This record gives sequence, structure tokens and C-alpha cells, in this order.
Amino acid sequence: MVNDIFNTGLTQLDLLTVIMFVIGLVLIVLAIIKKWEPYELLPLGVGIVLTNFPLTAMFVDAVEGFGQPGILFVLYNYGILWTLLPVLIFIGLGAMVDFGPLLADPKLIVLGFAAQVGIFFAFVGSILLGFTTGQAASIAIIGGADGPTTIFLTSRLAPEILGVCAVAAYTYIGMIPFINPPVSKLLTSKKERLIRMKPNRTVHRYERILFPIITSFVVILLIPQAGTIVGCFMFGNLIRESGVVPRLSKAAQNELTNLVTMFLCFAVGASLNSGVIMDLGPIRVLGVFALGIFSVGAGAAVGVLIAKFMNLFLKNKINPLIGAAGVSAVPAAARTAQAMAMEEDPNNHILMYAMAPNVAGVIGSAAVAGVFLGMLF
Amino acid sequence: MTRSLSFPRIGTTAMLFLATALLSMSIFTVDPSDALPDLQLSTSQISLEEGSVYIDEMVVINVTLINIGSDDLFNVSVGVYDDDPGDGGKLLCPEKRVDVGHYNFTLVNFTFKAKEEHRKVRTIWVAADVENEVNELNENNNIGTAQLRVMLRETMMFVLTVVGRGLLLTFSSLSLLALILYAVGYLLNRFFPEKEKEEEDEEVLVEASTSDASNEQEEIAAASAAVAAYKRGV
Repeated sequence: MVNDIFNTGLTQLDLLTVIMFVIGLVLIVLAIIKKWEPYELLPLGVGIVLTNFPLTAMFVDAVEGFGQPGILFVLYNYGILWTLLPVLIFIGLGAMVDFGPLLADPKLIVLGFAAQVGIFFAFVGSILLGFTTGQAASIAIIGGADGPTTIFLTSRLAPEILGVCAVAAYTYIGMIPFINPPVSKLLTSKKERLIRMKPNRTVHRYERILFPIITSFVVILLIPQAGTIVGCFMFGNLIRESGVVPRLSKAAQNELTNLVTMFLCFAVGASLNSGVIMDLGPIRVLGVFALGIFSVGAGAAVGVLIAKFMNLFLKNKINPLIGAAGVSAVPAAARTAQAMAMEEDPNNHILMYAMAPNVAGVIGSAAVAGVFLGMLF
Repeated sequence: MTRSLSFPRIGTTAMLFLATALLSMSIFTVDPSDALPDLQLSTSQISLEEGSVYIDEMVVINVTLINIGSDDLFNVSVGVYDDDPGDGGKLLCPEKRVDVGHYNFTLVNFTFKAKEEHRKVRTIWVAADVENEVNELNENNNIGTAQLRVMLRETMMFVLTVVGRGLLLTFSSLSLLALILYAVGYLLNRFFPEKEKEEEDEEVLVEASTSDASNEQEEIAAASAAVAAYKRGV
């Protein structure tokens, strides 16, 4: 009887394991009660809780598992380390994104780039704090506020901090409505926030169809390492815009995206076991979170500043609030810009304009990830 | 500065366990009449002390060689290569010669300095008995690989190069994209200015009006016929 008790997981619990349980449960609570990115945080939280149960051997490789790898390890190894799941997500994302607002006013692409500048600030900051180049790039890309890109890049450059980076990325995507407004308010005047933008022109159907093809050629030829992400993203968008495969488009937007997101986040959560945190050290884990939020905030700030700079030369002024939407959390960042504009003027609708830098941010962060891969992998 | 591994390491204990398990299996599966050695080397028997190293740091590779045959092995060569030795791979450090008793295993360590030419992710090949000097039961299980990442030191110059190049490439690709999109949008709207939609709308209107008109004419004709018939007293 006493031996039976000693063979249970209860005797194997330690403080760090309990802390990991708490983190997992907090994410589950945030997803259910606060509805913060529930499609991501719920499986992420469950993955963290499951992988930390002692003696389950769910996250062991074939050697440690005496020839039988744990199921969570299999998901992680083939789904994440082989980068299968993040890449599939991009097909779904591409099918979900409407590039119409961007095509109506292509100059707004520049705002999508501006927000990526924050990534490079965070990269330098991470290096100065003692992270390796691979880790620094993985932490900095959190500023792109794009979960799949963060997972894709981190799984290649610094798999040891993958779980931490993914949790930070999805947490901050959920927190965009809290991060962007103070940054935008600090950098804009009331007069600027009241700017009304000219109505967008109608976008030709052929423009929509040509966009994914042109983007693939331009970005992949210039940054070949971004080919995987951009190629899949644009493939998904072509499925949507071609109009000839409506069933594929619907499946990519719904079934594919939902299922892959679930397995992706579940596997990422599973990689976040107490051993990993122990190896990394709690201070460095906190460092990842601090640099991550800095990266997101810096991205939004640079976006706003570049929008203000563009206004110096533009006849038809743009509302600088849409600059903060350049961090790619689609559509949370655009919605936040819209909410801020309506705070000042309830009849000022900038959502469609904000969607342009928002979707450009996705392309921008994919391009930055490609640059990091090319130089550091 | 602490540095974490980029690739999962296989613990020496686990490798020893694997070796023992393979040996115990082989004892029951090899026919004692085949008195030949059989050196076994696979990827799971190779581990790197550090999966990621900086240029000029020492790379330490631990290899577990198992003889699952029923005869002893003497003076067998083992080497570490920068590529497939059967495809021109070069030795990264001097070969070693080892003895492995039958149904037994031995551990071998290799050390070499990571150099500039090894930069980025490399596949390191470990091969035993490349020259095929030993007659074995199975000659096709003498090779394995491991992944090694060799990194540049984070000098400020390197970091600035990454940042500068990153900014330039991202900005140029997005700006070029914007220019092309402007051009495509301009050309399409100039030569096909929402033609499809307008034409479709017009066609629908024309169809609607003609069908309305024809219906109206039919109704008028029917009403006229009815009036004429009434007048005729039908």
C-alpha cells in the first residue's frame, strides 16, 4: 500500500511542476473567462498541464521511452520541429485574409514594414541582455504579433525557448487592445486621431487574383528563406480569391485552420515542461516576456511615427492610429485602431484602412523571419 | 552567458541502456553458428555534448559502438566526417581504432574545433569500418549522423549587419511590392475599369427591362383582345 503511494505522481510533484500547472491553468482561465485568443490559449494551457504530470512519459523520445515515444513528443517532433503545423496554418490564414483594403491603397504597405522595425530593436536588446543570436531573433519576432511565424522561426533557431516564445506571442496578441492604445495616444495628438480618411476605391477582381502571385514572386525572389511562409500564405489567398474552389476555401478557413491551430498550440504547450524552464532559468523566461512586450510596443510605436512622417508629404492625410495596426495580429490590431478612432469621433470608421497595414504586417513579419533564417540558421 | 542546446541530446545513460537492450535482443536472435562480428552504429548511438557551438569552440561527439555479432572485433576504424564518407566527406578529426567484444559495446569520444567553414547547421557523419576491412554479418549498419549548429560570436558588427540587412531587405521587398501593386491597379482600372461589374449590372438591367417590357406588351395585347371581344359581344 505504501509502495503504491510512492509509485504515484503525487510523490514526484515539486514546486516548479506546481508552478507550471498554475501557468497552464491561468491560460485556460484566460481563454474561457476572458476569451483571450481562446482557440490558441486553451489547447496551449491543456498542453502545458498534461506534459507536466509526473511519470506519464508523454513527452519522451524513443530512446528515453525505451523504443516507444510519448504521444506529445510525436506531435511536437513532427508537427513543430519539422515545422509542418505552422506552415499549414499559413494556408488557412491566407484563405482568411482579405487584401482588398491593401490593394485599394498600396502605400499603406509601408506601415506594415514600419511595425517590423520594432523587431530589430528587440533583437539588439536581446543580444545586449545575453541571449544568443538565434534566441534573440526568436524573442524579437514576437513583436510581429504573429503566432505561427514566431513558432516557425523559433523551432528553427532556438527550439529550447519555443514554448516560452509561443506563450508570450499568443498572450501579447490577446493583449493588443491593452498594449496599442497607450502607445498610440502617447505619440498622437487629438487632432491627428480625428483625421478622416478618403473612401477607398473599388478593387478589381483581377487585382485580387494577381496579388498573391505577384507577392510570392517579389518576396520569395528577394528573401528566399521566407519562401515557405509566404508561399503557403499566398497559396491560401489564391484559393480564396480565385473563386473557383469555394469548398477548398471554406475548408482552409475553417476546418484546416481550426484543427491545425489546436494541434499546433497543444504541441507547443506540451514542450513547456518544468525541465525546460529549469534549463532556461526563471530570470531568462521573464526576460523573454519582457522583451516580447517591448517588441510589440516598439512595433506599434514605429508604425504610428512612420504614419505621421508620411503625412508630411501626403495631400490626403492618413490617420496615424492605423500605423499601430502594422503589428500583424489580424484583426485585433485593426479593431483596436478603430476603437480608438471612435473614442474621439464616433462617426470616424477607420477599420477598413487599418486592415491594410494589418495584413501587410503579416507579409512583413514573414519577410523578417526569412531574413533571420537566412542569416542565422 | 549560458547557452542552451538547439538539438535534443541523447543522454549517455539512455544510450547505454539502448546498447544493453540491443545486445540482449541480439543474443536471442543471432544464430551462434554464424561466428561473425556485426558492428552496429546508428544515429541514436551518436550524441553531441553541445548541439550548438561557436566558431573556434571544441565539439565533443560521444559514440556508442555495439557488436551484436558472435565474434570479437579488433582494430576497427571509426571516423567523424563533414559529409557522407561515401560521397567525398572529409575527416573532421583523426580516425580511431577500437576493439569491441562480441555481444558487447564500447564508448568512443571525438573532439574537433568548429571552424568558419562549418558555420550554420551541419550534418556530422560518424562511420565505422569505412574501408570495409572487417567481415561482418551486416555491412550496412555502420553509419549514423548528428546535427551540429556552428554559430558566429555575437559581435556588435555581426548584429548590426543582421539588423541593417534585415531592414533593407524587408523595406525593399515591401516597397517594390507596393510599386508593382500600384502599377497593376492602375493598368487594370485604366483598361478594364470595373467593366465586368458595370457590364453585368447593365446586362441585368437590360434583361429586366426587356422582360418587363415584353410582359407589359403581352398584358396590353391580352387586355386589348379582351376589350375587343367584349365589344363584339362574345
